[in-house]
Amino acid sequence: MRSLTTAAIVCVLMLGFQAARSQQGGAPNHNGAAQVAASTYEHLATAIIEIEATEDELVKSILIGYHQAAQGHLKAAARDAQGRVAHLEAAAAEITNIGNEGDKRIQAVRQRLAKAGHTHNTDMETKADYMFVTNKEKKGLLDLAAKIARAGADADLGAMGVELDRQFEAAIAPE
Amino acid sequence: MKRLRSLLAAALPSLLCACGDPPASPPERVPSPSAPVPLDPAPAGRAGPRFVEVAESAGLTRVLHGGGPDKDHILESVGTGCAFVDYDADGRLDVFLVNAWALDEEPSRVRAKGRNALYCNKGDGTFEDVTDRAGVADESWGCGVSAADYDHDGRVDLYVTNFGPNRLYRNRGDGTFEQVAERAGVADPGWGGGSSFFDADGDGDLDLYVANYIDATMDEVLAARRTTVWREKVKVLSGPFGMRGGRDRFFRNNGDGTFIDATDDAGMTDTAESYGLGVLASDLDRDGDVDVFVANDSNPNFLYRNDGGGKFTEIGTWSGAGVNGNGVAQADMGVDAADFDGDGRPDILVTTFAQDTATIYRNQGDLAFQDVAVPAGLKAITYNALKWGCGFFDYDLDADVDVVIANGHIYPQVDQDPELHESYRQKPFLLRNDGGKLVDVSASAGPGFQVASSARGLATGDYDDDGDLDLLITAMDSPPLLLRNDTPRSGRWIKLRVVDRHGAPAIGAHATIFCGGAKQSRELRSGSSHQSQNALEMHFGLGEIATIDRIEIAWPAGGKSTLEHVDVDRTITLREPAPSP
Repeated sequence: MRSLTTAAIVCVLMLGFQAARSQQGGAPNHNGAAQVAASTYEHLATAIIEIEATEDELVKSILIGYHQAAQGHLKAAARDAQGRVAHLEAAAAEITNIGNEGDKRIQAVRQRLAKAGHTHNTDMETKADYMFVTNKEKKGLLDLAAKIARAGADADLGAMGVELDRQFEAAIAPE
Repeated sequence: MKRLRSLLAAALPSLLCACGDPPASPPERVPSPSAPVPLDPAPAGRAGPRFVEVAESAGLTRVLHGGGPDKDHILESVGTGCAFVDYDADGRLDVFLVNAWALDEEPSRVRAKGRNALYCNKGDGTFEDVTDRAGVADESWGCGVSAADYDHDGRVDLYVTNFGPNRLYRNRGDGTFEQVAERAGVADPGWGGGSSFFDADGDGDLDLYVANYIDATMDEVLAARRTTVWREKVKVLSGPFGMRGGRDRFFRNNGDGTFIDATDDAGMTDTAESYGLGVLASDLDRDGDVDVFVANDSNPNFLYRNDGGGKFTEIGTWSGAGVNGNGVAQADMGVDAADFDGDGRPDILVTTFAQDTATIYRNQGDLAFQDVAVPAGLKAITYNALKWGCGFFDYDLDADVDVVIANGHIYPQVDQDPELHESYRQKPFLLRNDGGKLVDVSASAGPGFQVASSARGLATGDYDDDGDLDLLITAMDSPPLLLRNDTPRSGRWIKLRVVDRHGAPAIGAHATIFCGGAKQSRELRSGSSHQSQNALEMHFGLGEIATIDRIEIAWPAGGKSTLEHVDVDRTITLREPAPSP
């Protein structure tokens, strides 16, 4: 991913620089150089914005993956009495991954990004960095995860799945 | 670019989806080296606490270094641990202190490499420095300590975590130790924090969990500059958030004096690279095997449920103990557990950074926890302080566990701005348990609790063998504090020394006492608090009870022992019975 992104940035920069040069016509003077710089910066800005949008969609797709996995485990728990507990706990783990906007591996990546000064939104309540899941939404998801992990034999797993859908859609919806 | 974005977005969900009792028997009662303490007259009401700081007069004078005066790097902030440990098996608690280095600021360089200290208890309230004779000085940048008999020779060994390779001091039994970490396979080279020996797989020998804090080098430490602005006032050190965390390690005991790194095999892979500090090995669900709670700084805590056979599942976040009741991963430091509310289950206490509350996670059973910091009164008391070592202990012998917390800021610069209303040196907290509600009695707890220091490690133990628990506290760039408990006696007590078949403290043993229609329990643990080791004894305050109806010991290897009609105000040593033929 890192090499792909780097390559994309370099390509955009080179294209931008070439495009700016081709518009100059003659030998570069001071104004011409400034024009080239501004144009190149414009292309760089486009690249940065696109990369941030890519990160948004990447994380959203990660969360969708957790959601699908959680629903899969819920369905499996409903039909597999022997593996019910394991599936419910696995579903709970996937839901906590949604709440934390990533499993432990993703959290480690986010820590590295934070070190580099790359942050996203700031939660009003906790001041923590987040992309989609506010702290209020996170608390709801963690509570649901705990409930699912300890769901008794008579628990309505279907209803829990519906509740998960509801909370997930609310979490990833544009604010 | 859009094509790249779409490609990634489309590919990821599919990638992610692909991831997917033996019979009870009487214990052998061993004559205690300490004579029974004569019964006082009948206890008369609740006494006010009184602790007196006696470290210097007791001979505990080793200065414990913590980097340079400005604390430019986070390595210079976490301090060192301490232990009450009876290394020479004479029945008296000795003291082990972990030491770090002193740094100069301009230019930044190593000024002195501090040496650990071992002090032998002379039995008259004073200690003798036996560090050199014992061979435990070392010159590593030390962090924490835990104790246990890992090799079944009946003697208590010491594991010291360092910034750099950790040390395992094998007790030779003649007052000296042999450093065997490399040979034993536990010389983990990371930045170690808390550690704990425990029997993870029920095979009778003690395995080892080591929390690692941050991945850093000494070059980075010496080159560090303060770049973070604390509360918009003063420039302070950076981290831990944004730094690369160290990966915790689990070492399985091979039974021959060596260990193997079984972190992945046991299901304890620290893929989050969380900032591990506190380790608590405890049978939190009382199902007969030991679970592991790791207090992480600025990351969700880990709760490894023991699934049997040495395999664990990490259930921290959905257990309720991974993040606080607001869903926030706190900057957790120290940890301890005890039955705080008298419901028979051990609750978890964690300490946290300044401008945040210490937390008690109430154990609801089946490894479900609930943050009760607010109803327990912890938030109002602890919010402003920066909290480290901690412990549950019954200081007033009234038959419930109270709380002690060692405090001290990590930024010396907070002293420069009065508007912050913070100080680098802080007083410890003594919190009395009033039926599940904590009351701050620090201000009236005697001169020992009026000493402000930048404290870190904390251990509990009855070093003067008078039946009440004293406190050992480490402080930055200072000698330790020894807070002798001089609280006027208002309750009865009993101390249990439970030893395994080899004669060493039976790590993992549970004791439950029944008296007056109530019961209390304790668990013998290696390592807890902030990088520290409590005395390997079980101490109970009993209130006005003069006779204990029954004591039940659940041994770590299985089996139970029972004693009935036990006199109080004494220390009893109980040895695990040999297995039936």
